[in-house]
Amino acid sequence: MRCRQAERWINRWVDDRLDPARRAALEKHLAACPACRRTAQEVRGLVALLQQDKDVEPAPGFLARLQPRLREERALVPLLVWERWSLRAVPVFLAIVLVFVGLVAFGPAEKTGLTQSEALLLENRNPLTETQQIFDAAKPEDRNMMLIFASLDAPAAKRLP
Amino acid sequence: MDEKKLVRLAQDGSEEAFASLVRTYQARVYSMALHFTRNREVADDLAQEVFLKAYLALPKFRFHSEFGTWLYRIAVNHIKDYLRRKGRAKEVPLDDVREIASAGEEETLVRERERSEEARRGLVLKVLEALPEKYRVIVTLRDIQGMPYDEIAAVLKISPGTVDSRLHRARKMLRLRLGPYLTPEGGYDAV
Repeated sequence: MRCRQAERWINRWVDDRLDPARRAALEKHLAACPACRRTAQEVRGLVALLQQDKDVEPAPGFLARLQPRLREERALVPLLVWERWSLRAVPVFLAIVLVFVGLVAFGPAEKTGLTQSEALLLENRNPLTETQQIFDAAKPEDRNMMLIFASLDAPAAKRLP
Repeated sequence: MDEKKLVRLAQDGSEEAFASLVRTYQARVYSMALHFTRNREVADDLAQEVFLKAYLALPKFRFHSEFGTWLYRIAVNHIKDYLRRKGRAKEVPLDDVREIASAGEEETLVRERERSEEARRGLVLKVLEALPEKYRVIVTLRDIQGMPYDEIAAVLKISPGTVDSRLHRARKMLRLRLGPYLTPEGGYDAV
């Protein structure tokens, strides 16, 4: 057995956590190795010094001093719950406001019906020129026909209330 | 009464059931705080705060571990927080250890064997106090409190293998700093 391995096993040996075969191997090594024997003594001495302490009782009246604090905490619990929820509500409220603002600002624009004149203006065409062509038509039959076709193209007029 | 039943009653708001749990664990929790702080008043305050925390967290306890293990976990974390706030985890240089040791030695020359042992123990605790936190915690739980490996693993949420290796390193650090002061005569006997 190497001393490095023995050193690791010494800790388990002191805590009585070595199986019988390893225990026997370690004890054989300790009998032959003064350095590891010294390590074993030091570990045992260390643990023995530390283990002297038993559980110590706190000063008398520990529970009597604790109980008023428990009652105080219990009285605060509903308030604490409300505070916790109110703190959570702030980001939720902000998120709702942001979503609403986003929808208003960047949502799909309301569809607006364009008049024929507006459509012509958007296409960079002068609506007055077309109308003028109709009225400039030489024959009254042609003019009437052109007016009929123009009215068919135009959207139905909305009746105002 | 069965501990699980007591815990359930305490969860339902029974003051008497919680008081019974406090009576069962107060010495253990107080001792743990005392081992870490070496101050009775501070340990008493810490122990009270641990039970207050446990009381408030009790509705969330789901019996995934023993109640004691759960309570010790709260205690260890609370005490670690306190020590961090106090900033007490400072390394003690080896020269300081020798000074403490020689002061102890002078004292022991004129006192009885028990007092000598007490002086050596004081020295060990002083050096233990200066170890990095994780090593100090493992030695306190295992060597001072005598907690089983499995329970330490559950309290600290680490594997039993990590408990083993951390304890090995911690004891080695203490041995390297304290050496001969760990045996009664400062020398070595046959094993």
